[in-house]
Amino acid sequence: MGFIAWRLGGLYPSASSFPGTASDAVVVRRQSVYDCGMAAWDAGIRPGQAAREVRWRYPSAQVLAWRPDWYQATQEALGDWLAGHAARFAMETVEGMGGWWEYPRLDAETWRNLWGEVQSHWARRCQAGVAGHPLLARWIREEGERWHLPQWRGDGYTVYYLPEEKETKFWPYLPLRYLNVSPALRERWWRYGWECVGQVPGLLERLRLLPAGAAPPERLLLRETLAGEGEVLGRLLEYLGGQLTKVLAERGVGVDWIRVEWRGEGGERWHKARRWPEAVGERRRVLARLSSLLQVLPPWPPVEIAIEAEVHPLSTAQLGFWKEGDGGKKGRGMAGEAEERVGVGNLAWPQWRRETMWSFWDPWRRVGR
Amino acid sequence: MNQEGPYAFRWQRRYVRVAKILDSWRDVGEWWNAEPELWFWRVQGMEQGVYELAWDPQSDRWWLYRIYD
Repeated sequence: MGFIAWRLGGLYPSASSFPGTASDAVVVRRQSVYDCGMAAWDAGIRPGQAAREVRWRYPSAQVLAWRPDWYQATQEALGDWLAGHAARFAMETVEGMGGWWEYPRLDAETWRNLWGEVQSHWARRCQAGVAGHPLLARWIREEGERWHLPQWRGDGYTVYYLPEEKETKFWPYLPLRYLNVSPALRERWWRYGWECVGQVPGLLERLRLLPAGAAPPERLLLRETLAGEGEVLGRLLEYLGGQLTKVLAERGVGVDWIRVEWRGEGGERWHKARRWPEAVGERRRVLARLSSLLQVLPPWPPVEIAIEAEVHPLSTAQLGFWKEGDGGKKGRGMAGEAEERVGVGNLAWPQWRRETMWSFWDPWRRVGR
Repeated sequence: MNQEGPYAFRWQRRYVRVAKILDSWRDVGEWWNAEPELWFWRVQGMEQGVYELAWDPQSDRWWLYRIYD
């Protein structure tokens, strides 16, 4: 429980040109509510709602068109305050003011103290969600009541929080609409009828791995002593590739950089490294990458080999086991192309459907799986 | 193409004669996305290579879909 996703209302406008009376004003930006006064908030108006809803939700609203100078200083001051109080934070300023921030070991008492500062300087109302990941926190902020989650209520705020022991249960039900993904991927999910994270193969593991900010790439290291002259390169490749794939699969990550280092009897070292444009975790592709580095052997008999690999969460394109988006355009087809040169003459239609279906009945496509 | 299927094709400036048709099938495609039905052949060339060829009967276009070795 360390991330607070919040949405603020009843902001203190910073420009003297702000014409509204504090309580009834509803500021609208790009057809949606940006901010509202306390009375409007209490009547159910929330930032992010469609502007057309304002009239029937709160008929006496004084609707104002948003102006950047009204909130600029408030936003900057709040950002400065967050920078001094949060381990990390992200601000949303398009559909109202909100975002998330990380605060270790947050409890009701700490929250009250923090809110006291926010309330006296920047905003009078707040709806928030607290969870161990920003995505969960955001979801809880919106739907905490529906899930009957425990809450802290107080002067101007409602905070739903997800107890740590419930997080594992909640992750699979996180709606996909809270994820920031490309429209194409969103449409594909929609076509499959997938609505929450647990329905998308592999997505859950990847999301759990994804920290809120940018994570430094992690590196794996495998080391193997060679059996001597009788060591067959193919067997070595199979073994090391298998080991690497196993680790990748267990952790739900892929590899986009591999360094192979050969060590000789006298301590000599000889290495070859390569980086690929995307991370892959599928066994066949990992083996293909590894084999490209094992093609050139050191000039002396090696006694040990070390493999270092940089791992990343798998790209969402690979979560469906195939590549779709750039399939036709860049001439890249199904996973495994490096070995089999799929798509020499590219068809105009995506190959993933065809290949996936055939993989069930065509023995030629099941080899090596 | 003869009655059984393709008997030769060009690839990388080489003329590959089909020694044997190993398999053939049709793929109806995403008809709802205007993808036509495609005919596929898995063939073995005279030089022992195995290939998959695709043909769109509507437009009479051919593709070398896959190379096995």
